[in-house]
Amino acid sequence: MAQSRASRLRTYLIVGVAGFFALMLLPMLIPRSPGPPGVGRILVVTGLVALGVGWWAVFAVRIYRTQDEFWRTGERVAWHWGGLLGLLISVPVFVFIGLGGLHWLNPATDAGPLAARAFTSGYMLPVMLQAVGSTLVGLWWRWAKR
Amino acid sequence: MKNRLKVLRAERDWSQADLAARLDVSRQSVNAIETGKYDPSLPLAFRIARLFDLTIEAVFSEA
Repeated sequence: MAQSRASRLRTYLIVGVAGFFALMLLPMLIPRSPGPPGVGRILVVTGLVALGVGWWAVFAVRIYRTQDEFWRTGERVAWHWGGLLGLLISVPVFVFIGLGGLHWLNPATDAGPLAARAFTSGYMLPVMLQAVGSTLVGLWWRWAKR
Repeated sequence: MKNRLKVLRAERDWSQADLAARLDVSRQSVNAIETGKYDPSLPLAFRIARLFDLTIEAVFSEA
């Protein structure tokens, strides 16, 4: 029985990862015209990426449900403490780069204010969404267990 | 939490893999429980006790 669980986990992992990367790499097959991407390309690529993420989400849930409680606990610990640790480490790195630390390390690196704003937005997006997601799931959990 | 899992398993001449298969968990789970590095959930503790035809208290005790 344990073997069948292991083989199911392997299958979910292989199919999940293969499908995810296939959908993520599919936009590379779409011919590109020079210059900035048009609305059509933006929508198609964004849609394919969303599909890839959805695909992975389905298999991530299947993998989680197939794991035994020991592995699930390990995964929760890894996401909670590992994620928190990574997030905390990223803050000084973000400040260092945001203040022009890369330019200080290598004067050839002159990003300019536009790139600095893009870097800040790029950093804040996953951090904010992670905080929102964590808060919502925490609220849902307390509501569901009341 | 302390437990007698290793002794009970040895009495039946089962390997960790045998016990894991009977409980439908991974071998790593059995090892972690035996070494006291992981406390099983109540449902799994019941399954373990039932497998050995014992009460939970006869398998697990407070450290």
